[in-house]
Amino acid sequence: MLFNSFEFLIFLPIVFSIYWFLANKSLNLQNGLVLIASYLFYGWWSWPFLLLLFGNTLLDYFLVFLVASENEKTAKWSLRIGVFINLGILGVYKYYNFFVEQFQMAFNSLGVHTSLPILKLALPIGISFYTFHGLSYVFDVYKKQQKPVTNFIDYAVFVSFFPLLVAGPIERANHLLPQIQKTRKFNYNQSVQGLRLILWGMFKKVVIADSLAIIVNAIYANYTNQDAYTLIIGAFAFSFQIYGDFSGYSDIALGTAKLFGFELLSNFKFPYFSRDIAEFWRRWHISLSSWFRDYLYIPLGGSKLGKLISIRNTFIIFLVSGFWHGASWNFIAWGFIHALGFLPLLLLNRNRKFVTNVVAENNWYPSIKETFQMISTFLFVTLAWIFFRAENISKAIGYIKKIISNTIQNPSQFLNLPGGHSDPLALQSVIYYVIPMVVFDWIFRRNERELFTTVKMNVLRWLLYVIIGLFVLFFFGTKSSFIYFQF
Amino acid sequence: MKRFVINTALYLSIFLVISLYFYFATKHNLITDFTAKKFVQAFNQNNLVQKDEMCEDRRAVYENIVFHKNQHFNTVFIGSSRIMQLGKYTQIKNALNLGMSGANFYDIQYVYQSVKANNIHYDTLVFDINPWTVCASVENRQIQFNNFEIFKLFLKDVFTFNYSKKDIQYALSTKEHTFYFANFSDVENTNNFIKFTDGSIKQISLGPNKRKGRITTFCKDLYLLKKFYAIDTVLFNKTKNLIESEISNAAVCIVLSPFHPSLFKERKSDIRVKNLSVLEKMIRKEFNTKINIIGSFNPSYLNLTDSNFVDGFHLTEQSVGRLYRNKSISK
Repeated sequence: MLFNSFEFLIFLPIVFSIYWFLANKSLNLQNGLVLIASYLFYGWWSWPFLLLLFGNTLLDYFLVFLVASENEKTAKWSLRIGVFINLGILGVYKYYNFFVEQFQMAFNSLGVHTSLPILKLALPIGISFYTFHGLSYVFDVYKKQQKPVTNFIDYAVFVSFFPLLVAGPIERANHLLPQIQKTRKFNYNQSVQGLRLILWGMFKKVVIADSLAIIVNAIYANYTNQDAYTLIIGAFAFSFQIYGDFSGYSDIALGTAKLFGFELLSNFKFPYFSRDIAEFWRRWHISLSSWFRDYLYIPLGGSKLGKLISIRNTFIIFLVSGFWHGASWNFIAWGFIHALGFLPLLLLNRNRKFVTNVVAENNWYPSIKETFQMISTFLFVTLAWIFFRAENISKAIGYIKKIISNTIQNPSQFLNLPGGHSDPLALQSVIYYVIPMVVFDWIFRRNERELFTTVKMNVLRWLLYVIIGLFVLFFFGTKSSFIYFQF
Repeated sequence: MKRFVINTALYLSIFLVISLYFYFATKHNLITDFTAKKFVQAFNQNNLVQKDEMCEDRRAVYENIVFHKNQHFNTVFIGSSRIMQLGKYTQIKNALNLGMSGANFYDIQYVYQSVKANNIHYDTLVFDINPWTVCASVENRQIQFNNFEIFKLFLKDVFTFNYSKKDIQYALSTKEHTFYFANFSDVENTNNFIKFTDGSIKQISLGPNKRKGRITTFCKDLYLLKKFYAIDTVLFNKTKNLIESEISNAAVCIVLSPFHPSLFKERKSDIRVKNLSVLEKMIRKEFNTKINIIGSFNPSYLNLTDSNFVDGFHLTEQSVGRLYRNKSISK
């Protein structure tokens, strides 16, 4: 079931009503209902893959009792088995064919012809997310940071809680499980904030991301015939499309969870206002980057074992992060580019410069220096997105090459904006769709969870709700999937 | 909880009321006399369309209808792009051509009803009937005139003081529009194309290679005939009823515009090509005694050759004239 579908519009109020009016007396009832709703939500897409989710949940549930064993050897082997099975399932569905193709290519280049079978399997939606949920639980139990959950329903809700099931945020056991194990009481402010997040998330997805997708798809599908101006517009448009799409999804997920009394981890904190790449990664897909930081970067030694190890670890997490997104070299290249962008900050010990504050924290607008920092970071991120969006590395390189060669051939194309191009509408549309989002984000940039609250006048705030709601209504209907569902 | 339910219900009520207002507002055509005048004049000033020429853009067709409300014409043409520039080359005086690219039955019906609603009078009404009038179309160009896109256009019309050629071509980004975005630069010379607001592209001229390529592709892919495996009897009957309802009001003609000869040579065994003859027989059986039927899907009818075609299914302007001169348009 998609958040931006008619089914979800029906599903959510029904589950919400039963949850607060019928199941509010008992924790077991609340959790049982959430589990049924979550399985219905997932099964709406594919019942057979629901069995995979259930099997995965069951396995981790039982395995962690061995992982929690006082016997170090048993705990270690159980952990290895848990990691092997979890990553094994992910590997079969997501990476098997990629590795087979790479092996075959490598052997073919040596003159050895092999014929390994290619699996024709659909990728279960959200497998990367719920696998990482399960893994974080197994790791936390192994590190004694989390006790094994005895109630299976509690654990099953942790893995499959429907707002975060298919595209995150990737939750941590020690953050979400305590909330699951405690009876939720209805909180007016929390629920209102949930609705606001849902509304704004829908706007970002349905109005902005889906509208930009049309432009982006058209440009990327035919990039060889576009001029440099149009290609640059396409690259910028994708930056905002993926932000609108994924952060929109995350907002809806956070908002929906709030309606049921849960607080999920933040996934986005206005990443395009970042002043360097390090800050960008503290603001973009936060739950994934912190997952890799805690379960990969730190166990590898983090930054404590000297500069060289720190550089190695940085490259590892960026490359793995790229590979997590998809079994394709272009995602790895995307991760590599970000690692390169991170490297100077690491070498100059400036990677933790912007940890706590937000740009222009006490002002309405940024300083010239901050503006330059934000723009240069955004341009770098946009360049890297070309590798993310293109079908493969050669197309990404071709896209960039075309921008450069066409600019050299016809530099005057940038002087007569926006006319004289294959489609001047592209710029217009990007501006129409992006400006409201950027302005809105700028106003509320200090707290991603407290949207609309700085608008003190009730009438004005309600007017905003209605206008945003109407836009969602008018643009609703294409029912396009979220980009991150494929990961 | 009570406060939450009340506030949510209040929001939904306000939202519902405003949504309903927009719904009913956009149920009406927001193309007014004022906006139509501005729009059509801009078209004419920029030589994008004449009143007796086909206009590919659905919105412009409707603007054209509103612009010419309460007027009388000798002949009104309703149909697809295959009646392009028909008025001009048939030397019919005082014609209004409301042809639109890829028009299916519902487009034709909508245009016909709009003509009636705007009190446009005529002596002769010409329907261009095509295979895609009576089968599921491979294209989905049909736009609803009563939707939010038109509402946005209305706002733009009201607040735009001077239309430039570019404004008209790029008046709105619709989903249909950007469908063509990718193909737009895939032309020999982009200056030869005009892109309209519903996404359709009017081709001013084709280079020889492009023309040949298009004909080959058409014969290979069949383009709009792709789904013509069967004649949808429901659509056929609706078309029949629409035409019959008009017989008592004016002289009615049906145009069967020919397809390129290579289609009948290279794909003659294809069921979809055979269905062309079946459809033509059905139309003739139904209307031969009642109204004029001009032309034939089969080009051998007028000894038309490759040189008579712009592409696989559009006649050159001169050949259109020949088609019409062959048989008088008035009954």
